[in-house]
Amino acid sequence: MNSLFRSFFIFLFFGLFFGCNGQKSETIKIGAILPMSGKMANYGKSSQAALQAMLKVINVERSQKGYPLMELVVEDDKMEVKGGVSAINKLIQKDKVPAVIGPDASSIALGVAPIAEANKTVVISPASTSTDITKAGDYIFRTILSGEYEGKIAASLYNKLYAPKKLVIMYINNEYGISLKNSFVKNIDKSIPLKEISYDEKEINFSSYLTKIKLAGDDVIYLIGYNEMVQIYQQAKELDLQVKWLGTAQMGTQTLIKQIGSSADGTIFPFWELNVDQIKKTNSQFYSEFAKLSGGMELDAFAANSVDALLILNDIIKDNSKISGEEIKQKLYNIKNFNGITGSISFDANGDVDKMTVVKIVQSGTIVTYR
Amino acid sequence: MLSNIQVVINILVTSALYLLVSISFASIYYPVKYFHIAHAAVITVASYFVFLFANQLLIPFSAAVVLAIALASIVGILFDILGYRPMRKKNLASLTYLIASLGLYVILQNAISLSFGDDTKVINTAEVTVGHEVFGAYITTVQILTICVSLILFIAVNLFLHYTATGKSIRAVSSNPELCNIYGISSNKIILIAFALGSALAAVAGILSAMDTNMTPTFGFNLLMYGIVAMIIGGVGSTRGLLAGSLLVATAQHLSAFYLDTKWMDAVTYIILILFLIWKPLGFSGKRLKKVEV
Repeated sequence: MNSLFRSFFIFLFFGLFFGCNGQKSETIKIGAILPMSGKMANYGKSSQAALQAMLKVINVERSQKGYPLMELVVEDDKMEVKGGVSAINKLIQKDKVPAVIGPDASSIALGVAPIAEANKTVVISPASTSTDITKAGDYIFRTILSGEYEGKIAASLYNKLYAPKKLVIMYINNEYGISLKNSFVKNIDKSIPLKEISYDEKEINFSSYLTKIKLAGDDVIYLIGYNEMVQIYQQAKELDLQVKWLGTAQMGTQTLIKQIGSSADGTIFPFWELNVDQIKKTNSQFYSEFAKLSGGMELDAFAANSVDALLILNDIIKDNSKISGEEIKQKLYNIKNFNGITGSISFDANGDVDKMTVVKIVQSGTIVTYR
Repeated sequence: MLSNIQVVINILVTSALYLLVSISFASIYYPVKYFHIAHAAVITVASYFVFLFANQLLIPFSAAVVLAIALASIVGILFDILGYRPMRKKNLASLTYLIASLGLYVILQNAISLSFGDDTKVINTAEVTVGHEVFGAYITTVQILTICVSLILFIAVNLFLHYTATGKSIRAVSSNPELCNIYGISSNKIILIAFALGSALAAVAGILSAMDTNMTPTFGFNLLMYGIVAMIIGGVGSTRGLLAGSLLVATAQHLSAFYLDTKWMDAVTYIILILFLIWKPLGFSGKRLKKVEV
């Protein structure tokens, strides 16, 4: 029995010794909370592939400079707030990461924010647009434009191009949809006849909503949604609904446009600089790696925003393997005109990103800049 | 006037789908007398089978549909053999079946999510085009198919139940399973046939719905709920009442969307259900409601 105990303690001692030694190998762990399952899983998978691809490129540079390598710990939030909360707790307590990229959904980012704030861990969301994120805490940043800003641009597009035509806002009934809708409404001329239609996340049949829009003779639909926009566009076409479409930055995903087909043509939406063809040329190493890891997926807007978050963290951390969340936070506020793959990036005093917006239009199934 | 035609078309398409779901549910409910909620997963799994065969394994679409209906039928049979039959032997309360059935639903729905993902899947890969014009309103080919298939199957099931020996046995077991056993009709065998028939019908409903509006792993549940409401309103025990029930539910949903607000569609459905349960518990058919457990 004694020998058994002795062997156990020796084993434990060596285990601890090598365990500690492993941590001293000085890789810098960064967390990522992504929707790897659930309705938005395709976004999560594409972001993960993009992050891993860019990490490979970054680590090659780092090893050349003699910097410690970076490591990415990816957790699945299952597109649920409780999933996000368990993920952030695990990343903070077990992996002890100073910064996390994600979550995508605004509601999950808002659930994660107080925990990150209390533990002085930086959170950079690549996709949360809710206006509430602005005031979610000092440690909460985002590389996507705030819904407040996006709604304002969409409203100005309507004012400039379509006013005073009859307008319907069709939006998904969640944090993302409501906050974008509110910001849009705030910036629309009050005299405009305006209708609002909300739908639940699980709905797939929109024929009664679209019939109502058709029969009312509405002219413009501002559509705020996720993947279910595929059905909405298709069912609108089947009903021969002749309207002008205003879209959100979600429309900047080529995969989604491909799924919708020709029905998406003519949709105008605010977006930012994301020229995939140019990235293929200037970051060929990254893109070929991404193509390999993603199995041929197109680089979407959220994945590109995640990559920018990683590039900024890499730039801030440099060779400081002991960097704390607090230091990263301070340095993030000083980021001005960082050259990312989605254009020039700066953060304001609330951690919201400031980057140039461009108006895009879908033409024959491809996204082009609107002139 | 034109406006009304589009609403009428929407009502017809929706009621055809509810009719098919309610016949499929009723053909199992009448003989077993408990709520087989896992039926929702059968509706869903059939369209995912089509997706697997036609879109991934590239089997011709019509063959994929036949194969999917057959497999969904087998899933229904397995539910009975592995899930409910051992419970029937122990003579458990019907609430136990309901809970077991919910469990079976969750298992199968999660299996679908894990295998195919939660995002929307498309089985109808044909180019989306403007529907056929009918007096200024529009209807797609799939929607016409839904109405025709639903009516044909409704008539066929009615004929089967009333004019074939097996159909009569199903009605006999629905009426009194113990007496059937005494007369030499094996109620277990008849229930198994009912599960096969109901699941095949559910598969057809699921595939038609997915061809029209695409699919997610949970789409079968909502469809089943409306089918059950149509069955209760139509009058449990009456197959013809299902037609009236489905029409009423679909009409109420589309008219409330049109005249009130689209947010009222679900609420109005359940308000009608509650009103029927209070004022006309026997449904349209007026037949005695022997036992309804929710």
